[in-house]
Amino acid sequence: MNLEVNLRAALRREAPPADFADRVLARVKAKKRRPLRPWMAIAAALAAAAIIPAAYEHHESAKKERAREAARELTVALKIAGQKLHWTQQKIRRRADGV
Amino acid sequence: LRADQAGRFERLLREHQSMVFSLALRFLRDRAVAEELAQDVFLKLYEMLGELETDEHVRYWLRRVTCNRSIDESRKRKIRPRLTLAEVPEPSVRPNTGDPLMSDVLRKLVAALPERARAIVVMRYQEDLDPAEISRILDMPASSVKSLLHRSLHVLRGKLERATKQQGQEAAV
Repeated sequence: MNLEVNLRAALRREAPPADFADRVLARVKAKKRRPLRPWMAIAAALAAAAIIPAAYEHHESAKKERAREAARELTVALKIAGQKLHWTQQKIRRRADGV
Repeated sequence: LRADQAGRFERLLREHQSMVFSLALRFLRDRAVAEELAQDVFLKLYEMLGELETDEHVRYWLRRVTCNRSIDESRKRKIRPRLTLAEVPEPSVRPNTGDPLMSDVLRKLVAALPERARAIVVMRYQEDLDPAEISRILDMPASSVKSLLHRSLHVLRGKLERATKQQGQEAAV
């Protein structure tokens, strides 16, 4: 019994199923359609890292501007109210003095 | 991949599909699992192809990756408990020389070898590689490959001879 001859016969290559190559090619095609590859994910992360702080900054400055505008409006409203109060006080005083 | 590389990939896939599938099959002894592993190896090749300049390099890469993945998969699935060479089980079917069952018995015995020994035997007798080539693929010294191959053959021969002798005695009775 020649073991090595028998081993060569026993371990000779076997063909995979007939559609093996086609199935691999289909998986390759499906993989190609996947939108995000590692380099794309890295690029997206870098872009997000650049955009998010800028967007946050913009949002914060817009918020501050709105607050400043509201404060200005409040100041004007208080001034108007103060003036009206002053005129009313003057009217009351004049009536009280019989003018 | 560029169009020419895509064409190269398909050519290499068709050329090496039997090699990759058979290597996985010898380790895993399950056609479906071997096919899935072989598909994964080719998908990885598709990603790596730009870095593998020659077809010789591709063949070497395929053997190495298939072998390593098969060893990992075999361990993960606990297909066979870790045994030393001496603990390899006796064949349950006793073969005659020239018996059509001989190949099946041998495949089972090889599949029962410890991973490294199995890889060496498969590389030697399926792929017809010499110990120096096997040592490069498995990252181990050529002297260790030769010694492990020698011991594996000794174990396989012993188990087959014992099985054959036992069968002869049973036939005489």
